[in-house]
Amino acid sequence: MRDVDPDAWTPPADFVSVPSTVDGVELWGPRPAEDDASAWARQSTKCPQCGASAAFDPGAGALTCRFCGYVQEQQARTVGTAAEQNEFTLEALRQFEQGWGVERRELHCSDCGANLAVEEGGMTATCPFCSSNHVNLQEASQAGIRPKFLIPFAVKSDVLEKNLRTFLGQGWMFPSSLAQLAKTDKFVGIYLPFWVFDARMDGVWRAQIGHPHTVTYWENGKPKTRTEIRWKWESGGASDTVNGLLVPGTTRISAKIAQRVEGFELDALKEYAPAFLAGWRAMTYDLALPEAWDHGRARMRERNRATNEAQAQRRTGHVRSFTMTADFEDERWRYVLLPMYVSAYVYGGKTYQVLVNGQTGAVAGQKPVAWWRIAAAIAAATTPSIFVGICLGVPLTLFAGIGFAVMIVGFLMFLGALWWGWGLWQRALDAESA
Amino acid sequence: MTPATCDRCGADHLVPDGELGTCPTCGRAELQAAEADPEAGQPELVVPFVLDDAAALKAIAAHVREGGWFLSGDTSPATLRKTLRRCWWPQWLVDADLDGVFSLEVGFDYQVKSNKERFDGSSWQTVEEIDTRIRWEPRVGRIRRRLHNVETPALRDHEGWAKRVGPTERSTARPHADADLHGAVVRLPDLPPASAWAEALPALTDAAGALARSGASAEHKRDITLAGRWNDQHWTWLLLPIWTASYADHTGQRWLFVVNGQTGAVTGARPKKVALLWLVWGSLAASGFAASVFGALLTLVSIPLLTVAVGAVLMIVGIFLFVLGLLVGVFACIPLFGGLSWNKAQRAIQPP
Repeated sequence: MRDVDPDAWTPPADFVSVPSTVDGVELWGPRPAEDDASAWARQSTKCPQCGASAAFDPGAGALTCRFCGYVQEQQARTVGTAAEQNEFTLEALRQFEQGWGVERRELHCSDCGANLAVEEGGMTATCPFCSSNHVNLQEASQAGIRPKFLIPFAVKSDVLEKNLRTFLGQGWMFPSSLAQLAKTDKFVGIYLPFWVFDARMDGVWRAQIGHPHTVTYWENGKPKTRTEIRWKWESGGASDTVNGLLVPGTTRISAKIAQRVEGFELDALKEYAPAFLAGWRAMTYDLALPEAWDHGRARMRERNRATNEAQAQRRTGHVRSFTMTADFEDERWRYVLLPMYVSAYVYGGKTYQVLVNGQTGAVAGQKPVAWWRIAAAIAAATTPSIFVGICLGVPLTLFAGIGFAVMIVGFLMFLGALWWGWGLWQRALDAESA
Repeated sequence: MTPATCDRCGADHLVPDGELGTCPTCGRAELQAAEADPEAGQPELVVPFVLDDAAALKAIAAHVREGGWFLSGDTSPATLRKTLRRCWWPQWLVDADLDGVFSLEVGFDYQVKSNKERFDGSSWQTVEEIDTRIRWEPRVGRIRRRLHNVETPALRDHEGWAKRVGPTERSTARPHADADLHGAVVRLPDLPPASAWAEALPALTDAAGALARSGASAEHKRDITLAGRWNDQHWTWLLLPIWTASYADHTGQRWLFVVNGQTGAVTGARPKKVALLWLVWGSLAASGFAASVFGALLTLVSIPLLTVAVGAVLMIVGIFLFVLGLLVGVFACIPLFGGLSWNKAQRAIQPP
């Protein structure tokens, strides 16, 4: 043992004193990550030059002042997919960190119930979810954890407008006037809460696999063959690793629409800095971690089931009584803020929601359907079959049996047109629903 | 008590006056009277015996039974009783003031929720599982404390016999009385404090780490390093209760059984008689060979008789005997190789 003078000894610089419960034992441990409370302390986003309100500019990627042109570069580290992950500890599930940090308050929409964290002073705003102007100020919610990572807005308003016009102008089943509603001042840039999940699933399946077997038998003194399926219990297994599964942390936006614009590049994840939120809205989660994990796990296990079923199918193509187990391992989660432009607009007395990915510019949303166009398309699709079946088939029955064949062809065409029409109807409903 | 030493194993003892007898440490030589060591201290504490001689013999008998068949020598209780000796084996308890600094990693238990999902063909059922994991964190610190009663070996072969009979609970230790030593053999430390200090340091370091772990309210510790000064060391001679007995195998080689006088744990070699193993193998192999030959001949003889029913019966019996003989010949090797392998393991317990 080395001879060290304990009085002259000093702990490492990055260690701090920690409590000891034993007399005569002094302890030092690594300095904890910067205290959350101080990291999230209220910070001013005022311009240090002119005192005006500064905001984060997606074009400059910096905090800028539109009055004096001051630009403050952001030093936040890009952590990407290496961003710290959390385990599903019982402690984490019970205790969520709280508060927002930047001087913000919560706007509560009395019409749709959405909670929006906005900067102090932003007491009036149009709710992007229901276009309501009737909002009430509510003290910021304390029930929540703090998102430690975010992707800053990168899409500028001109790109946004162009993408939006393209989206609204696409498709023949929508009203022609729809594109005219694409006005960026109706869109609100908002950091939406997302849960990011990683996990590995080890699936083990068991099923009856059918093995085709040719059987020879005699009929009227002649040998004939037929194929029989012999079922055997077999088993197998396949693992899946899922990284970066996104589940919206809010029920205020349509999960379906959010999934369409989810193509976020998580490599751009940055450590949270208050400046990124300056001038933008941010929303706290209202879908808590356990519930979000239920959604995420359901998607993951279905993926693992598809992998295992495909493996079973590859044996012979005949599978029945398929059962499986999926063990989740190394489950991790992150809570992040992702940039999204949100809007709601009214058309024909109905409200429709549109989301634009604030990182990539991808657009998705509800669109009002011109139902008369759908009806016309279905009518156009079924008309030829009616013509063939009735106008051609019925007269031809007077001459020969071929008329029945034509009627059958017409009926089949009718069924095909109905099938296509049903699909079109569903797509239209899907486009209009949230 | 009389000082005595074993010329074969070198162990020093104090034996009752006029009772030299067989060395209770190796069981293979007679103890010789020796000069008293004026620097030898006095034992201070004893851990009392829980097992009496009958219980010790019973424990040895159970240990012998676990050895299975073909054991060499007379291990009957009557024989073992003749050599059974009540012994005290030494161990040091060290007290010392520590003034030093340390670093280690402390582990905190935490619980994680995981899921197992089962798909029954139509829907999923979820079973939640709670796993306990350890979060390791580095700690450094300063320690100024007196460490008490840190167990330290007093015997060079501590890692051998003493460790194989398992730990002894010290909570019942008390100052020794003359009655404790009456009729018993006391084995003297062959690691005096000056020599035992190097052996004591790991245990003292571990004890310091345990204090640091406790101070951090952690459940685990690892990777302890310690630097500093040890002062005011005090060594306490503790006596541990041991029963020993020995027996001779068929070659005259003596083997020792050691019993923990508190827990009844037994260690000791039980070699098998090699000649008996070969005899068994030879008998079985010869029987198998004979059965095979007879079966083969019977089969050959039965061929011309196949036209009558008895021919078929003879052929079946012949083939059966042939196969049975081969199997007996093959399986005859199992007790032989198993016994030789067993003896190799026994020699590791106590080399001949």
